[in-house]
Amino acid sequence: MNSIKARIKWQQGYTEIKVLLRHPMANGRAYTQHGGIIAPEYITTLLLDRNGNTEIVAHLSASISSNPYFDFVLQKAARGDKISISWLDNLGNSDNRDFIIG
Amino acid sequence: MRLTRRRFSKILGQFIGLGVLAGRATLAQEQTLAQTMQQLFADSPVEYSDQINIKIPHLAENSAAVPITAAINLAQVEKIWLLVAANPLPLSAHFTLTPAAVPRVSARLKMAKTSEVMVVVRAQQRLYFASQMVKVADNGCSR
Repeated sequence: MNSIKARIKWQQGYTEIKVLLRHPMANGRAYTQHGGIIAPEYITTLLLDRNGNTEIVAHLSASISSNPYFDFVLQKAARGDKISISWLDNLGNSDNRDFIIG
Repeated sequence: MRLTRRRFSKILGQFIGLGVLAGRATLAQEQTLAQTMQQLFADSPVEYSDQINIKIPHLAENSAAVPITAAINLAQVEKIWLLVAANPLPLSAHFTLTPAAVPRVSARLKMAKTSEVMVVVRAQQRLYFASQMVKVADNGCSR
C-alpha cells in the first residue's frame, strides 16, 4: 500500500509538510446507485512524527474530504530528519511512510 | 383469530413503524453545534480572538472539498478544532500540536450546506474562537 504522499520543503527556520492521503473518507450518509448506504470508512487518527517524536496528532471525522490533504509547518526541523506519517481508520486499516527532509 | 380489515391495517402499521425505526437506527447520529461544543468544552468560556486567521472561500464551489487554512497568532497553541456548524456532526478535525509545530494547519472540509465554519483554539489553558460564513454553491449533502 502506498496511500501517503508528502512534499516536504525545508527552509531556514521552518519546514512545510504537505500531506496527501488516498482514502475514501466515506461518512456513512451517501447512497450507492442501488439505494444502499455506503458504509462509513474514514481516517480517525493521523500522526506526524519527527525522529520518533510525535509532533502533530490529528483526529479526523468523516467530514474531512476524501483523499484528504493537509499542510503542516514544523519549527526546528533539520535536513536529514526523519518524518514519519501514519494513519489509522475506523475499520482498523492503517498505513505509514517515512520521509527524509532533504 | 380472523384477519379483519382493521386488524390487517394494524399489523401493517406496526411493520411500517418498525421499518421507520430501523431506518433511523442505520442512519449515522447527528449533533448540533451546541451539543458538540458542550461535549468538547463543557462550560469553559470560549472567547473571540482576532489572532485566529481563517482563510476559506466565502463561496465554496465544491462542497466536498472546501480548502481551509487556520493560522493562529497566539503563543503556546496546544489544540486546534475545526467545526462546521451546519454539518450533521459539526466536528471535522482536531489537531494536537507540540511546541515544535507552528500553529497553522490546512485541510479540506466537506460541507453539507451553507454554514458558519469555526476554528477553536486552546492556548495557555484558555479557549479562543473565530468563525467565518461559507456559502455552499452546490448541494453537498450526498457526498
